[in-house]
Amino acid sequence: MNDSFRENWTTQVRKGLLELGVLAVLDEERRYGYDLTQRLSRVPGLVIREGTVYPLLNRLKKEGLVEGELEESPEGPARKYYRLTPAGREALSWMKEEWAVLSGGLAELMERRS
Amino acid sequence: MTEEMTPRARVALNDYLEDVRRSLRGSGLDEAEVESDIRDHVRDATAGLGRPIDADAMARVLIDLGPPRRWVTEDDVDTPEPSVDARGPIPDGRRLLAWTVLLTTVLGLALFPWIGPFGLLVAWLLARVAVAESRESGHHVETTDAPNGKPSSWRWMVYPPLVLVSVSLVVVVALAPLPPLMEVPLPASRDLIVGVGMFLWWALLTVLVRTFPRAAGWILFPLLSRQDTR
Repeated sequence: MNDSFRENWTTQVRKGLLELGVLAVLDEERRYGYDLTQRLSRVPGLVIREGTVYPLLNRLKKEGLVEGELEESPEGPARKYYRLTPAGREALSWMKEEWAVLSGGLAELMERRS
Repeated sequence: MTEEMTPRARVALNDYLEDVRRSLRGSGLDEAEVESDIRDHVRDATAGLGRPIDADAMARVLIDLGPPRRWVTEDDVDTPEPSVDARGPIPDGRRLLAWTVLLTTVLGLALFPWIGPFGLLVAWLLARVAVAESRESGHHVETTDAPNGKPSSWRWMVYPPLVLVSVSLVVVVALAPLPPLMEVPLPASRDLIVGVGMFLWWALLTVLVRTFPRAAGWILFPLLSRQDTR
């Protein structure tokens, strides 16, 4: 297996899961951008560059799954917090179910082989 | 936030923002919103650091954010930067420009002091064109600006006039008040007058560089620019 195949495979898997990760983290509580990236960075291998999270957030906002709100901070300038919309919560619920089915099926498949 | 960082850190952040704006053009994304996200991220990422934030700390934050073009699309989010070699050979036009810079520099030095200064000035302008063009094309000539730290080999043809003109300019401007101060018709206090005069002149220059870091970085490239920032 060459490096290119490995990188492509990892990239594709990570891209799909990052979306799920962002929604799952925002389901815990609303977060501002840096806080969100730090939370996601604690998942091994999920976030390589912190800047990758923001374009994804913008797209999720456009799709109505996430919304941002500015809130005055006593420590400095206003901060933008992101949180799930009702549509985002619905999407997350659906994605969790899909993930459970997929990961369960794959785990079973790999167990049989080993 | 900008008051809390060194001039070089500020130049690094401004350069990054400018590259992001350039990448965003025509994308339909809100430039102001993206810039706000970046500034907020930098502010939060440097919250626990000492003040002022220096260029190294800023470089680490910007590297973690990733290349400016990542703000435009998710398509390449986690794809490694292509290597310099993978970008293909340097086009003939760019190679010709680099050779022209080198030739004009050599002629300028050979014909110094007659028309040499003019030749060096032309070489400097051509070299700036080459650097700007290289930034756009991805064949980075700047050592620390290249995404993988590997600049194009032709930087050694482009850098000599840039360094020569920058160093000459620094020397000329730094010592500019010296001749008139030496002419002061008070021999007894001349040393004091020269000392105070030079101190005030350098203080003024320092203030100007700190107030206009982008302009200073542009004029004095590569001595004072994004060199230490990425």
